[in-house]
Amino acid sequence: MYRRRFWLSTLVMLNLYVLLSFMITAKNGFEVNSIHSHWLTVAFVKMFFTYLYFRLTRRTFFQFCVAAAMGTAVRLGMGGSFLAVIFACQFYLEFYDNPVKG
Amino acid sequence: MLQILKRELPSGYVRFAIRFSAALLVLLVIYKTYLWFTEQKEDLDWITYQVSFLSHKFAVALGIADCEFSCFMDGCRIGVEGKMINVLEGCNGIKLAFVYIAYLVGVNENTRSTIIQSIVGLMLIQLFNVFRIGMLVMLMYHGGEVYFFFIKYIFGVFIYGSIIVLWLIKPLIDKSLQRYVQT
Repeated sequence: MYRRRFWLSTLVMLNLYVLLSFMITAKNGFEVNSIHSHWLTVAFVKMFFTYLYFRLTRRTFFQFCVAAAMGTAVRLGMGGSFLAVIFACQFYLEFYDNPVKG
Repeated sequence: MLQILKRELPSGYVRFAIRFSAALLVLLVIYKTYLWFTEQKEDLDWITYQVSFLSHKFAVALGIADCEFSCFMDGCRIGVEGKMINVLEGCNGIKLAFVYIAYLVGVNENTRSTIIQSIVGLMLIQLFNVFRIGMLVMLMYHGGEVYFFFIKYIFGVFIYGSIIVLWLIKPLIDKSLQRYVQT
């Protein structure tokens, strides 16, 4: 049951996140600079999605904070992928940190 | 505050977060340094060139006989005249591969297994990326109406999905490698 909830949430999160990227480009075109005009809104939306993802998979607020801080640091500091970092944290929590069978 | 943190955060998770962040930081710093050196030489980085080169070969294998390939300092252009796609440094998929490797280091249970899986995973992710860019050249060539949907949505899910699958099969690979070492 828990495992099913995790997979369903992961699938929804992945699709929502990529769909958001698709919608932004559809609205602004491929020019990266045009996205910068409302990057903060997009960042908040992504953070909200991440929070929902952690809530749905029954993680604690602190676990969310650590993952969000890591993702933000990687994204802003090195231009890496925020979503990949979030997934890494979730997969660790699901499969290595007190894994549940379901 | 410290006690709340200790209670709320399982120590394993903190350990993972530190190891993951450190590994990712080291890999990204090395990569950024390498990029800086190639920029100084006014050259294109080797990874982007190889990904573009293989994507071009794949596109030709898919049937685009007149597919052209040219590289500049900031990236490569692949496709037929008027329907070219740009492959820039950000398209080479190496940063996603680094996250994959950092995860392996974060959950590290066996160093040898981590090294083997990192190398194999890196190559597999690059193969997925070559497939993605080759297919994009193909889509651009055949009309281009669905190209936009594919580049921003389908292939986004595809490349993240490939990493998720690699993470998922990690325990199976660990078991196989252990059995191999024991025999």
